[in-house]
Amino acid sequence: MSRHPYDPPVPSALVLTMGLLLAVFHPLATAQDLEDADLTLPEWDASEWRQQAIEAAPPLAGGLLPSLGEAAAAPATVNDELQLRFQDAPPQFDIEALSAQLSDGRAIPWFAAVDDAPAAASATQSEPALAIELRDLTPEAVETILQWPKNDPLVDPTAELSEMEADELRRFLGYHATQARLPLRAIVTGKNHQLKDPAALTAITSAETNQLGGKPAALLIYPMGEPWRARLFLPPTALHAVSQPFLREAVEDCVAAARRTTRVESQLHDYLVQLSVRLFWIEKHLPPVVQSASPEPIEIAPPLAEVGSGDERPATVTFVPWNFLVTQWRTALAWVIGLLAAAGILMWAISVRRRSRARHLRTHVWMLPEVDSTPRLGGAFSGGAGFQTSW
Amino acid sequence: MKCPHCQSLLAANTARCPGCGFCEQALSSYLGDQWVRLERLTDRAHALPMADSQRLLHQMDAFERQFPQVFLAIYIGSLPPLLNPVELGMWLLNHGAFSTHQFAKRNEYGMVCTLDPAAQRFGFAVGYALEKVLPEPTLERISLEMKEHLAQGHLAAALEGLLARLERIYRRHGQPQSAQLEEAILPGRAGNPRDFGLTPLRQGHQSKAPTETSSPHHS
Repeated sequence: MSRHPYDPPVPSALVLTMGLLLAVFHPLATAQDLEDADLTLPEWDASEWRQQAIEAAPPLAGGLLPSLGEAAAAPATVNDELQLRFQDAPPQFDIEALSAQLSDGRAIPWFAAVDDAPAAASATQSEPALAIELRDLTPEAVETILQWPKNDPLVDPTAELSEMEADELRRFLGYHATQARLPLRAIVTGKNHQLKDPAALTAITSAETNQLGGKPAALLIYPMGEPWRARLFLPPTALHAVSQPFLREAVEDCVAAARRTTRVESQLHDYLVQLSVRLFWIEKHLPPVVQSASPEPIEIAPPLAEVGSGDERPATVTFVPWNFLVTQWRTALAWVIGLLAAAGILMWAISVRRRSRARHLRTHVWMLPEVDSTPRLGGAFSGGAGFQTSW
Repeated sequence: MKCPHCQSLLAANTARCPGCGFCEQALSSYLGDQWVRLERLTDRAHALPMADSQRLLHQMDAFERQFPQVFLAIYIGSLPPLLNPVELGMWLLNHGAFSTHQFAKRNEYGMVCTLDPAAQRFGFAVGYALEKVLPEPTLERISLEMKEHLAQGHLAAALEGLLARLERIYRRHGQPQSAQLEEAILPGRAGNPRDFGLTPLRQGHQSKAPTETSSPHHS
């Protein structure tokens, strides 16, 4: 190949190098371009984005307030969430108005923290504890419960909850205590813990132990991850204010609310939220408060609605008609005696009335009024008034 | 008020039905104007068994004790062809001397129930004093109750039901008063020996009470 004399000189080594670079990198660059063209934009589903947002965002107010991801995933308003979760809640329960009464003016995010998506770092629901795995609370734990501060609505003797979760629940239970006539005190135990010692149970459920703000409180003994074994204790006034089916349904709903999620912490949270709502319902049946100069000591009633009593499987409540007669034979006997007594009184009253009526008929005569009549059709005593028919 | 013969509406003091000319004199010309004696229960058709008759008479006794003013007379028999039950009842009330416990009872407080089993018809005639207590709608309701029993052949039950219904009506319209002491002491007293088939002796056959002169022990 001939070169023009006015052409600038081209170093052969540079040309060679350029050609070599083109020969080496051109196929690679073409493959990268093809690869870039084939790759799509990063895609995340809502839960992944939400989880990343939660993890990335700094906790607000120590984690008590909804973070960015939770706020984005949470319903628009509090009532929307309540309407979704508690469609049977009383309409007059205005949680926004109640939340607005908080001292810091910020809504409690307990409803927003309810998350069905399992968190990687938290424990998830496992199989129900077997009966042989259950063990009683140690005397030290019982003593810790008894020595726990009286004004603390959340008792965690075995440190089952993290500090943040415990604070959040305390805030919620404290808020419930300020708004409700029936405060709630919760004792959180381990998954395999149970409380069967009658002496310990009596001491824990005593009236002196379970008072919040001077009001008798409901007591919940909740084993983590085992909502069906939770035990609820109510003051006698609340116990007698509502029916047994109502209480059974309330506890069943609490268990059902807890079982909608797999995080054990969320289970406890949901259980307490549902129980709080139900306590508000029970409160509507309580007699009006009577101010007295010397308040009488209030005793805690025996276990009211015990969803599980050490069973290794979730309790299922089934209604058997004759079961009432077997389990509540005293009540059934009282009913039978009452009905017999009522029937006897009724028969006696009927007998007395019949005798009185017979005596009245014997000792009295009835006189019809005198009537001045004008004779008709020439009849002296009758003018043909009457009625005739055939059969 | 209606004419018992043609059911025309009558004024209060009408002497003769303007529609058909019916009046008491017309009845008297047919049945006579003499007074007749009649038992409270006259069963010319022999439709009531003896036991039913006795039970019914006992009920009528109790009925008359509770209501001293009023009486009920029952006539069971075939009616003359030209008479209906109300016409015969009207004539009986105007010409009948009913054998009641107290003859002082006035016929205007009487009620005559006339039944004709052969013709399967019956009717009521009431005196003037009972016209407001037993108006026609009330008598119609009573007749409806009786028809249910009569249709089944239960004549005694129909008459007992009539008595029970009349008791309730009279008790509702009447004023209760305390009865005499002897009536309260003897509630089961039938009152008249004739009810048991006993005829009182004439005055001359009665044993005279011992006098002071005839008494042998009189000193």
